[in-house]
Amino acid sequence: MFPYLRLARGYRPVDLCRWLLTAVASAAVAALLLRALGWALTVPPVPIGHPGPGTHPAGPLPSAVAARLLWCLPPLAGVGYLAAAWARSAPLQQPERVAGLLAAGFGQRRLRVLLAVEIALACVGGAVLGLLGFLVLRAHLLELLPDGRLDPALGARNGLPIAGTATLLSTVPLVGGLAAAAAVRPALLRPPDEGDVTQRRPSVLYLVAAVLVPLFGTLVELAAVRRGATTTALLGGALALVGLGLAMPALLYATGMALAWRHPHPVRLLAGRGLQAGAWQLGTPIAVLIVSLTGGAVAADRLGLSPGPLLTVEGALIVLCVLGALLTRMAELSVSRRRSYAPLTRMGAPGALLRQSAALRGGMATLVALAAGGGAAALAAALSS
Amino acid sequence: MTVAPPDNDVLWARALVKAHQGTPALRGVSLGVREGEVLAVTGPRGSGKTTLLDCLSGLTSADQGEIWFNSSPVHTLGRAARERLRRERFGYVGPEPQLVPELTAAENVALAPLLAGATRKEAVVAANEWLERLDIADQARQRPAELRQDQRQRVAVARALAHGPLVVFADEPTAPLHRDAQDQVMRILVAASRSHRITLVLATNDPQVADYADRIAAMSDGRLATPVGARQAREARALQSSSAQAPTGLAAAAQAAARAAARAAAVQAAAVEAAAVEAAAAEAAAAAAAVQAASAQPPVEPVAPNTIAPPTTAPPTPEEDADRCSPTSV
Repeated sequence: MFPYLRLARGYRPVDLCRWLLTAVASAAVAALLLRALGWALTVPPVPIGHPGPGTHPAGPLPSAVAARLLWCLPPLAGVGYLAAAWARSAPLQQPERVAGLLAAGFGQRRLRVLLAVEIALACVGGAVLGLLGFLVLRAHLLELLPDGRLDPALGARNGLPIAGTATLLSTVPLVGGLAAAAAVRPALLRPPDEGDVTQRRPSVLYLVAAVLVPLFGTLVELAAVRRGATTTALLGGALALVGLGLAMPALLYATGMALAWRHPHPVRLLAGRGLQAGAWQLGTPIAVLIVSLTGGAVAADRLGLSPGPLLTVEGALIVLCVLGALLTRMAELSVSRRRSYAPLTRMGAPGALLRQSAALRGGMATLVALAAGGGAAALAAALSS
Repeated sequence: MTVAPPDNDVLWARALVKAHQGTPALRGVSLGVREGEVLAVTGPRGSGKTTLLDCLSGLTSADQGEIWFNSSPVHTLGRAARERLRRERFGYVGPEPQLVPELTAAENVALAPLLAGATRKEAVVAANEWLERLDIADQARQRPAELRQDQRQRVAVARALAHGPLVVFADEPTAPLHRDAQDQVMRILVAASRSHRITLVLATNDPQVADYADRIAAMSDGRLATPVGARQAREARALQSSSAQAPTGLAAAAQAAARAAARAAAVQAAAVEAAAVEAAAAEAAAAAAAVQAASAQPPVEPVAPNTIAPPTTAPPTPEEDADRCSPTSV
């Protein structure tokens, strides 16, 4: 398998950026995981029946150690999401590479494994980077922060258990690689064919759900807020938020349909149909971005978390991952659009027309995303007041 | 600009040279296409057919040589002007349907008149008309992925014709189709060419498809190898097949020659010249008789002298006046 990784020599700057983004995100997640380990070393878990923490009066409770570990899960999920988006777009962006590998005798399973290993390696690189930073801080090699302020988080007084560290660190590439392998569908690992470009039309059931779920959630939330029922309001708010995320592709699809209504000018026609065609590819990451941001804000507000460096790092990490996934999907869309607009260029469509339709499409998608984001923010605001 | 192109040629190329990253694709091709005619450019894969069509249609610019369209130069035009020429005057059918996947069939067809500057109403009317004519009006609201391959190709043909082009370039338009669909697409293209006086430039490697043409320009290795008339090419094929089947299939060979003669007569009649019809019929009949008489004869190579490109030095010979292919340039 490893000799095949020399394929990485064919990386373009875009691929390199994606690789680096994954590595950086993995490094941050690895650092968070090691920090949880460091706290656990400083305050060893208390056996059941023991009176309680004694040696370290200022130290946190063991439950807080578990909570720290749990707080690493959202960023880990973010890395997995980024890896999945990358893996899904890789064959589309480099069809000649897939075609070459298939012609050279690669089966679909091997291609899948290759992609997963490629992404897992980026995660390994990031995890090793995180470990190095952790070790440097622990050994006070650089004296970045004086007088050992970070010592409890680094577990500096105790030896680092190798098995525990390795287990924790291995979760990052494992999650990344598995997400990548799961995301690559066999249909993608085939030479592209015109007949395969199926247009996904929303089913009636989905459309009904996309309208009713957010509506019902919002009504429940508002009614509960008026009556002062906090739990019901939270549940309703969560339902409304999830429903809004669910409705995002439908919103984009409907916008595209409205743009292309009644045989318009080519600019509007292409923009509208393009928006319809990319509704799912664009809508899903936008929905994840909105839901995770709003959900995170509401959760931080409810749990009474003080804004600190940890929260900032976590939030930034998740936003980075989802934005990376969104950019990946956009690049994927632009590649497939270049292919599907090739006949237009052949027919002599002026470049300005294609640029105008792309601008219109992007503008409308941004507007829809902003509107949905505003709606989500309003829902969150109703909960916090 | 030194030599003005002949007036009856809608499209005219002189000594075209084009290389793809050092690999020569065209090595001095000269060609004249008359208005309303169906010209087949034949030749094996890699002989430069597609490159010739791309150059003629203004998609790519040749490295050397001149292209004139309706007595105005194409080779001096900039990119924008060539784009305009392509969307207003030319139509294109490729080996793949090449439809925009997210647009419906009707929208794909309507796009051509819209790009050519028609109003929305005109475009919709033209698209519906052509879809009706090509027998796919029922599928007008479906997307390409939902159509069969031959239906998609018919949509592509409708798109190439919907904006009323002067010249339609068809690059292996029947390549992805089975035999029946091939015949249908070719009949539609040729009928449209006849009824709307559209010039059709056809690149194909299929002799049966080339049979639809008024004239055949055979290419090999980037040159026009044997610029002969379609009639002569057909006769040559008939003779070749007859000599291959020689003693046993005598009757079949004669039949083939007679069929070729009939078809040649039909094509020529449609192409106006009545005198040529008689000559063709007589010649073909004579050929058939010759086949019957002496079937063991080696195949006759109907290559006219001095017609092999590069034709810049070749003076036009009298035979070529009837079935001229290249040497308008002297």
